[in-house]
Amino acid sequence: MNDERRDNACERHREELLRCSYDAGVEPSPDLRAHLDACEPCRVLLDETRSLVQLFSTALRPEPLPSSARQRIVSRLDAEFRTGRHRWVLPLRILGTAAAACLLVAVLVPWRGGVGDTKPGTETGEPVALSENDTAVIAAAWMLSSWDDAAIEYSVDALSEKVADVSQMLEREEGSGSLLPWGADDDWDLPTVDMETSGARDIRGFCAVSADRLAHLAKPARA
Amino acid sequence: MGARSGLRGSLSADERALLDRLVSELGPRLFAYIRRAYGNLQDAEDIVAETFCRAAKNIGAMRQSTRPDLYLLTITRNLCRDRFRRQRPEAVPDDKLERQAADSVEPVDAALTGEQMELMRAAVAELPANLREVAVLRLSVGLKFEQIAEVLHIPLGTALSRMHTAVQRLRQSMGLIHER
Repeated sequence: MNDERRDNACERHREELLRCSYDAGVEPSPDLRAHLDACEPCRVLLDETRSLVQLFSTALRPEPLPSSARQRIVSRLDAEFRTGRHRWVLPLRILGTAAAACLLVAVLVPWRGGVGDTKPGTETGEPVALSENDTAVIAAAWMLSSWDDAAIEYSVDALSEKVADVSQMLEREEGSGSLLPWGADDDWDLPTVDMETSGARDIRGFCAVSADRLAHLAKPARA
Repeated sequence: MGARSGLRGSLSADERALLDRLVSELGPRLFAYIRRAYGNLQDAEDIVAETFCRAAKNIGAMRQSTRPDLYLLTITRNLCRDRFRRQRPEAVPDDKLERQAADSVEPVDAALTGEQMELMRAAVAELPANLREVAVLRLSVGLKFEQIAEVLHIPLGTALSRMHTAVQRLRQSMGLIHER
C-alpha cells in the first residue's frame, strides 16, 4: 500500500478509529479490522490510545460519595419533601390517632355533661351533639394533619379524595375496617358531613371548628 | 390542589426509594463530574444535593426518562454553569482543535504510582474547559460519545474531536510524567 492510498484509508476510518480508541466496549468493524491489519501506525495508535484511556479512567474513577455529601442530600430531601409512610405504618397511625380522638371525646363528654348549667340552644358554650360520624371526621382530620403537613393546604375536595383513598386502601390492605374504632361500615363521607355546616373551607379551619365543637361538647348524639 | 403545590412537597415511599437508590448509584459520578470538570470540591456537595432536590420536584419527568443519569447530569451541569460561570477558564475554539492534535505516540506504562495518578488528574485539570468537560464525561463519568453529545448539545463529531485533542494533550503530559 503506497503512502497516498494508506492516508486515504486512514482518513476514511478515522472517526471509527477514534470511537474504538476512546469508547469503552466499541470494537472495530470488519472493515476497520482489515485496515488495521494492513496499517501498523493505526494499529499502534489504537492500542496505545486504549491503554492511555484506561490509565486515565483509573486515575479519574469516581470515589465513593463522602458521608457528608450523602448526609447533606438526605437532609435536603427530608427538609423539602415529606415522604409517605410505608404501607403498614398508615393503619397504625390511623388507629393511634383515632383512639386518641375517641379518648378525648370520652373524657370531654362526661365533663361537659357534668357541668349541667349549659343548655342546648344557648349561644355561648352551646353544647353540640356529636354524631358518631363527627367523631370520625375529627379523628380523620387530626390523622391527616399529623400524617402530612401538606394536608393543611388541601381543599375540601382534595381532602375528600384523600380520605376516600385512605378508606379504600384500608379495605384493600386489611380486608376490613376493623382497625377503625367507629366501625367498618361507617361512611367516610367526611368533608360533606361537617365542612358544609361549619363554614370551614380548608382542613386547618376544619380542625379549628372541630376542636371548638369538641370543647363545647355536652352530650353524645345517641345519649 | 396537590400536596406538591405547598411550601413542602411530598414524595411517595416508592419515589423516595428511587431517589435514595439514585443517590447511591449516581451520586459518586455527579460528584466526580463537578470535582474533575470544575475543580471545585467545596461546592460539590451542595450542588449534588440541589440536583436531587430539583429531580424530586420533577420526579414524574425523571421517572419517565429512559436515562435518569443523563437527566441528573444535565441538572448538575446547569447548576455548575450558573455557579462557576465567572470561574471557567477560557475555552479553546473547536476550529483550532484539529490543528492542535498531534499524531505522535508515546509509550505508556501500565503501572503507575500514586504520585503519577495525582499528576494525571492535574493534567486533566489543566485542560481547557471544553476539552476537560468531554474528557471527564468520558473518563470519569463513563458516558459514551452519543451521550456526551446529548448532554453538551454538540455534534457527535465535535465530541470525538474534542476528546482526540484532549487525549493528545494528556499524552504529552504523560511523557512529562514518565520523565519525572
